Amino acid sequence: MGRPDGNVRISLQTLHVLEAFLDNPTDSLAGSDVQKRSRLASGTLYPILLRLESAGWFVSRWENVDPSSAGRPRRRLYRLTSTGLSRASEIFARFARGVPA
Amino acid sequence: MKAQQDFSGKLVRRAAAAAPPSLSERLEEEWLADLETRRGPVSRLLFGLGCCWAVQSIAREIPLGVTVASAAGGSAMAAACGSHAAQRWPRRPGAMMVIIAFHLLVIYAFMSVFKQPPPRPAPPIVHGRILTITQPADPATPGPKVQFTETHVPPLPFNKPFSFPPDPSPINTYLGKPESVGGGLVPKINLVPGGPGEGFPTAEEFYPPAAKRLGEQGSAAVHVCVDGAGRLTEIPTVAQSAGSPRLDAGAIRLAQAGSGHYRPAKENGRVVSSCYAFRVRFQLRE
Repeated sequence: MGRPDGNVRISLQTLHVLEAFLDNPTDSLAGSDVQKRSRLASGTLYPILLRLESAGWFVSRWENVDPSSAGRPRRRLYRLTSTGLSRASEIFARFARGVPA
Repeated sequence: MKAQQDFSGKLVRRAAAAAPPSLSERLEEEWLADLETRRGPVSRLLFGLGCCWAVQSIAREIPLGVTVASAAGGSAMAAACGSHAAQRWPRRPGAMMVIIAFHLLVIYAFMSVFKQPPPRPAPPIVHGRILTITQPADPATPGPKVQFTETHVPPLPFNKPFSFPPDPSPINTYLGKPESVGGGLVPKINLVPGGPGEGFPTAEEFYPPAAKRLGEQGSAAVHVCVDGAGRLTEIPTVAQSAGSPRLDAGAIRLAQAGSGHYRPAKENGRVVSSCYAFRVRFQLRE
């Protein structure tokens, strides 16, 4: 997956995923939520989430709900780390200046 | 719908089982939870197939523990989401190109079938009439007989060059109304040929003096075309020489001088234009 040093191959699909998180960087989003925002297929989305997580840009945790009382299984939630936030912000700032990431 | 939901769930479980062992449990729970947010059967099926695709990438990117458990499942499931994901889908662009080319070939075949032009309607059946005028073998019979036959012409064949075979017999088109003779459709034509008429000059008047001095005699056939008033419509020509150019020239001059004095041909009592030949005989008197 991603590299621990934070060097991640940035593709257009990766930018779509980061953009979904940058709308509200403190939010924790499940894969289905990211999929709705980024409009990516599951086959593309989950490898990116795992890649960014292993690179340290995301952290993930299980949703703190009781499946029996909620009537649904618990979801895996992803959230931007400070590293991920700074790197993503830097990448989008480069794009804003016209410099490729 | 229930079966499809079950199928999608099995697909997701199968995909998760093909993931590296360290992620297998987590991915199964995560993907099943996300599958629950999908409502439509097609959407759920696409999600399951996407998980199958995702596990290929995940298995390639994680170097450890690519060995996966081969769970028992149906043949359709095995086809949709293989257990040995990393081995089955290596990074071979050539294989992908073959698959894409195959799909393009199938699409082209379908388009070729539908691009065929619709069959053209069959041409209408043509009813034609062929009239044949044959000259009677017996010259004593006045005028030619016209045999009227009605022929059924079949439609021409499609996309095939068509040529009429040469017909040795002369074919003329008769536009007149056929007469019913003896129960059959045989029109009768009474043709009276033309010739030198009243007031036509004599050969003696146009006997060339040089030919007289040389004692030349003979008969020349002159071809003329005459209208209904007995006038020449073309310059006369020698159809058969008299054996002397002087006599031939005299015959031509006689034919020209006779214009207006020719007897026109008659067809069924009606004067018509016609072409014919007549003889001019030059003979010295004793």
